[in-house]
Amino acid sequence: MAYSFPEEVLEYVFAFLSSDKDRNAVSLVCKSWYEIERWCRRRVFIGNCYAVSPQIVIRRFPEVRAVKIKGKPHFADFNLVPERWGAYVYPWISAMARSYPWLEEIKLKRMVVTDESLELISKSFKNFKVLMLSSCEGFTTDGLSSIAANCRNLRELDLRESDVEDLSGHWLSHFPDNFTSLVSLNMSCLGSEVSFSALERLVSRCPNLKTLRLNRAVPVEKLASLLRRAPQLVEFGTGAYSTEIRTDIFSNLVGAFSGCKHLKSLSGFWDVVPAYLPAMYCVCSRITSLNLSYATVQSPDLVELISQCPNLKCLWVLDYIEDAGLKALSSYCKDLQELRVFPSDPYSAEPNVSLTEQGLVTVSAGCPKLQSVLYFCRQMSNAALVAIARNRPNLIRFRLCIIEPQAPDYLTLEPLDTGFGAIVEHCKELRRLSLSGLLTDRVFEYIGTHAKKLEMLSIAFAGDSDLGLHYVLSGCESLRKLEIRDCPFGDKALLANAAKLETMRSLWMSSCSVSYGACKLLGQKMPNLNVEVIDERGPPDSRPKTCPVEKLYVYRTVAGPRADKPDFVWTMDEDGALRLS
Amino acid sequence: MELELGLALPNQTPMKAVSKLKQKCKFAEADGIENKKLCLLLWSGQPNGEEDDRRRLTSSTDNKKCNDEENKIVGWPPINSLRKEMLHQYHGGNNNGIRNRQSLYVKVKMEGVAIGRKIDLTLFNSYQPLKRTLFNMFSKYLKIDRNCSEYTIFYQDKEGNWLLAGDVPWETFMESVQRMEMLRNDS
Repeated sequence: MAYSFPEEVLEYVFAFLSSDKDRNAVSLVCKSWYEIERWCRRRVFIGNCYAVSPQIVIRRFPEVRAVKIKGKPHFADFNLVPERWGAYVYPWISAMARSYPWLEEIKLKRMVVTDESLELISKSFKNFKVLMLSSCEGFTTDGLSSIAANCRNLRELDLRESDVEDLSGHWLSHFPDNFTSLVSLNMSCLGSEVSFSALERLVSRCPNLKTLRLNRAVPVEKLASLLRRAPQLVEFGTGAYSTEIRTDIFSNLVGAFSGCKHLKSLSGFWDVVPAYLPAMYCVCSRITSLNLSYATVQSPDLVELISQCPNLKCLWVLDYIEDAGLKALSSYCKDLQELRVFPSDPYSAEPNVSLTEQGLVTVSAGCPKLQSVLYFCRQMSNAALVAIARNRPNLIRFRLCIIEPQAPDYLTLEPLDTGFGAIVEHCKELRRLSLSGLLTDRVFEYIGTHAKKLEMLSIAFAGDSDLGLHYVLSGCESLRKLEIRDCPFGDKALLANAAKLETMRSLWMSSCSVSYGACKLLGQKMPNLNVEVIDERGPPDSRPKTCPVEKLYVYRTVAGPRADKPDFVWTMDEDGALRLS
Repeated sequence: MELELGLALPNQTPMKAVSKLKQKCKFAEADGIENKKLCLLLWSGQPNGEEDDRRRLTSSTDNKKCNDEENKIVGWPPINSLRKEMLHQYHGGNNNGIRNRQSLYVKVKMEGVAIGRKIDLTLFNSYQPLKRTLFNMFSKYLKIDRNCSEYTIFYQDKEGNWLLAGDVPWETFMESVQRMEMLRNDS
């Protein structure tokens, strides 16, 4: 009986619950549990910054120490979301500055972050520890200077894949001389050179530094000095790994690497000169994660390196690895869990490397723990996909990108429906799927029938009719995010499954056949959804109601229509009137 | 599919269509969370012949056969801008992603290949990556062995002299190079 335990006991018990799902369940038990839980929730994850307002979050959870917020839809990574669309973090920072003085962590993804926001962060939270900006934009190195100068207890500064306006490398020198708390620094996305002596001194005085990911501007000859000052590193990212081969630099590097007994993860490797790769061989036996996706090195050099990494769990690599390299991978790296193969020359008509579906089939056969795949290639067959599905029923993420849109099974010239059907049928734990190649409505029937745990689905240039979309929306019980581009899906399936959209985080449809009229209807009937039409041709009212909209973004929200829309976004509103910002 | 056919006629407004459907079927008003069966349009679940012809790519994708320039389809293949920038640099293509640099485009010809290419030398800071990139660029046209040992790279300096690339320090090379040529060793 809930009321017989004092609050303090319950609070103590709840502190052991880290998953949001568990905490949400706990808060539904009864009013007093709801109250106790909300006062002791310390971490909040907001999957869509427009699904809720800062005020609502702060009102419910007054003692938060860590927030994670995501902004733009995933397709923003591929330039499908126009500039100025939104996802500004400033309102969040400003509200939290007033209400969460003890905030320690801010992690943002695909949000617009200004220097002003960074300065506000640096001055408002006395115990600020972790700043992670993943695929963010809108700030300059001046903002980083504020963080460096003012966050006395900073532990992590991770700028992964953000687009930073790089005014100068001087920002790093703003860390005070008595600043020693750094644990993780990822500046790999920055362009300009930081003062190397400032970097050396920083690394020297931070004994807890575990992660150091340098940017391209740090040359190979400087690496040894850094590694020697931080032999405790667990994760290391090089800069440009190229220079004319010199034995003194090489042996210095070998010596430095051999002092790093804890290294597990390596990345960087821009402009690699293969002759420098052997400098790392002494750490390879402990390496579990290798990001070679910027390393423009041929297959034999890659195989040499990979064959020394029997404990490899995660490999990101360019398609230079080729089928032969993947075969080697499958025989040396039996612990492999994640493989990502990126294209080295995606825009040319002809293949530049010998990487085909065979490579992926081989890895699926040889690596029993493989669960996460991202694979760019130029040909695929149903037979290969069926083989992969049968080999690896434990797949959780499967993202396949056949470079030419609507490419059929290259052996039979048929659509790839059967192949992807086998994937969803055999891989019962599949949570994420990206489709490509020639696909009819049939593949969506398979997906709707089998993919019951699927949470995120990405579709491009696929399907024949609304039936395809209908299968997905009506069949995929766990679906949270659906993103679609260039598919002949229209009004019917969308309107027939309107209620489904409230059970999902978001739906993105661009270059499809959804009419303005249908969008209006959806917006009118579903008050808990924001139905946003993105159209750079001007107001949708100026075109017939049957005219398809350019882009549609639908998401559930308790915050109502957003007030910060740009002039090319319209929210389809309850009272039928067009709402501009 | 067991749904009843209830498509609205094309010349009706959506509101009229909905009220027509209300009379026909049993769905309740939208009231948020409760009603899972809400549908705004009854639909037989059969593709409607004249409306749902198999759609093909629009003309925006007709140009996907190429030229080595960037594909005309926006956002395809799905790679992010950091990676695209890296690829651009590696292939010596048009690049507006590099900050703080003035480009230095020089023409490069390879013996046996009719068409020359242009490359931005400011993307490199030493000979090795440059050589690698050049061989990759031209490997589409000719079969070149991995060690790139069959060809030697020459460059023409400001005075018009042809010199061996790699003989002088990189900075000197950068200051004087006008154009480059890759010649077979046995010629």
